[in-house]
Amino acid sequence: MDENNPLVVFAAKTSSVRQILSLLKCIGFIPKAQVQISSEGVRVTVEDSRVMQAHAFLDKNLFSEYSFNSPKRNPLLNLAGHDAEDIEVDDEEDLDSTISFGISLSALLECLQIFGADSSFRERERWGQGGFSTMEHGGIPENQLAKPTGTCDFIYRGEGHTLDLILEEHEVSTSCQLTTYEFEPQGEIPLARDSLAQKIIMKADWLYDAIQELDGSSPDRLTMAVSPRHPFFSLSSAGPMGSTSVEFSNDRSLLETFQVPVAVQNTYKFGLIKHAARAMAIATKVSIRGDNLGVLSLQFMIDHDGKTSFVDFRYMPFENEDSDD
Amino acid sequence: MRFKTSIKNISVLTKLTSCLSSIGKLAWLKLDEDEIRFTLMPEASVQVFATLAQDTIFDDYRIASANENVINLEVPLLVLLRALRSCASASDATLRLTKRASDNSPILCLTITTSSNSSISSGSTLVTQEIPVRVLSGASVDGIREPMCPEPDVHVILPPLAHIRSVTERFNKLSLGSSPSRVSNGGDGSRLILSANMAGQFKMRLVNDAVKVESLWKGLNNPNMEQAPQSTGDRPQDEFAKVTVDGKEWGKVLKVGGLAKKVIACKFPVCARVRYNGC
Repeated sequence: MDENNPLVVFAAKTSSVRQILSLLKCIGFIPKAQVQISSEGVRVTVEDSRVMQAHAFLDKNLFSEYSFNSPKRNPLLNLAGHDAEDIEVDDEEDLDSTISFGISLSALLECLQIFGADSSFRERERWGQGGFSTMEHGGIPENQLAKPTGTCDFIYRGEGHTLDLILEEHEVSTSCQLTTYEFEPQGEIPLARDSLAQKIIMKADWLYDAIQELDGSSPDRLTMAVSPRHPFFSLSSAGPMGSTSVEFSNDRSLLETFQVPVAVQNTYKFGLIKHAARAMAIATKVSIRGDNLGVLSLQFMIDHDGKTSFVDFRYMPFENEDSDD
Repeated sequence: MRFKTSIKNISVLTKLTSCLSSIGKLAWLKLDEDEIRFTLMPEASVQVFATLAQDTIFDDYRIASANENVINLEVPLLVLLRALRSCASASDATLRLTKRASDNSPILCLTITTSSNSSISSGSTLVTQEIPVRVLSGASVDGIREPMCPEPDVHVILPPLAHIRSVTERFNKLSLGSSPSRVSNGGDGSRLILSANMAGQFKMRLVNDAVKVESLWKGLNNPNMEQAPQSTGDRPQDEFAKVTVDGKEWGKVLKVGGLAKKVIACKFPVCARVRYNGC
C-alpha cells in the first residue's frame, strides 16, 4: 500500500456539525460502526446482535463542499498505486462506487463534541454572567459569539489511512485522526419492498411516547399488531411487572398513512427497539414498514434548518411468533 | 500563640477554599504578619501553592507567636469550606484560633454575624463554626518548600480555562471509551501531551488505538515574566516545549482556575507549572 498516497479519496467541509452530530448520536448505541462513502453521501451503519441494524445517512447536502474520487473508478490510480489484490476485490464487490471502512463511532462522536465544547461553554458563560456580557472572550466581538462560525473538514486518503477531522473555530483548531478498521460487510437485513405487509407514517413523537409508556413495565419483548379493522395499530408488551398495550386508531390526524391489507402480528426484542428512542425523540416523522417475513423498518425523517435527513432502523422478528406460520 | 482577624472578602476566601478542596482534603496554612499561604501536597501528582497578602481578604489582622509571629496549621478544607459557605449573607465574620473548651484541642473559630432587618424581628444572629485544626511546629514544615524550578522554556497565558476543561473532559472520555483494558490494567489510560511555544500557541494531544486528537489554540499571549526576561536565547520562537500529564489530574487543576483571571503555564525541561494570577 502506498503510504504517501497524495490523492484524497474523500474530502468534505461542513459548518453544520450539530446536525451531523445529532444524526450520528441516533445510532451511537454501539461503539463501532461501518462507514460507506459514495458520491451521494456518507452512510454509517451499526449492528446489534445480528438482528438489528441502524443506518444514518449523511447526505452530501449537509456539507458545503463534498468531493469523492472513488479509487476504484479511477483507472490511473489503479495502475499507479494499487496492487492486483485490490482490483480483485473490486470485481467481487458490485459497489464499485463506494469505499468502506470500520471506525470507532464512540470516538467519532466525542471528537465532534470537542467542537461544540467551545460554543456551549460560551453560551453558559453568557447566561451565567447575566449583565456582564461585555466580558472579553479573547477580543472576539459579542455578536460573533452568538452563532458558532466554526467549520469541520473530513478527509480520507484511502485504504490504510486514518479518517481525519479538522475542526476549526475562532482561535482553536482540533485535528482528529480516527483509526479505520477493515470493513466488515454485514449483509443488510433485507426489507422486501414489493411485498409490504404494513406501511404506517406517523409523528415520531407519538411512537416515542408509546414506547416510553411500554418501557415502564421493563418488558423483554414488543409485539406490534396491525390490522385493517379495530384495533388498527397496537403496540403491546408483557414483562415481569405486568403487560401494557398502546393502541392507535386509524385517524388521518393520527396516522398520516395507513396501508395494511391484512392483519399481521410480529414480536421484536424491546431493548433493540429502544435503541431507536433517540431518533424517535428528535425526528419529525416515522415510517413504520414491515414485509411479509416480519422484517421491520423504522425510518425516521429528521429536519434541521430545512434540510431533511434520514435514519433507518431494521429489525428481524422473533421467529417462533411469526404470524405467517 | 494568638490569631484573630475579621474577614472582609468572604467570597474570595470561599472560592479559593472551594478550588483547593477539589485537589486535596488537607492544607497546610501558613500565617505570618504579611501573608497567608495555603500549601497542598496530596498523594497525587499535583501540588498547589497559593499565597495571598493578608490584607486582600482580612481586616484588623492580629497575629502573635513565639515563632517569629508565624503560625502553621493543618486545616481540613471541606470543613472550612462548609463553614465559610454559611457566611455568604453575613454582615460580619471573624476568624480566630482558640481551644475547644471540652477537650482543649485547637480550633479555628469562625463567628458569623447576620443582621436581619425583617419586620418580624430586627437584630442580629450570631453563628459560631468550629474548624478543628492541628498546629504544626515550624520544624515539621520546614522541609516543605515550593519546588525550585529552572528558567522556563516557554510561558503562555492559557485560553479560557473552562474551555480547556471541557475539551479535556472529552479527551478523557475518548481515552476511557476506546481502551478500557488499558485503564483497568495500569490506570494510566489518559495521558495528555501538553505543549506550547513562544509564538502564542498551545496544544493538547491524546493518542490511543482508536484515535489521535490534537487541539491547537493560536493567538495567545506570551507574557513578560520578571524572573524570565525574553532572553529565550537560541530557542526558536515557534518550537514547542511539551509535557505529559495525567488527564484526570489535569482536569482537577483546571477546576482550580475558578478564581483566576489570568493563567500562566510554564514549561520546563522536567516539570510544568501552572500559575494563577489575580483574584
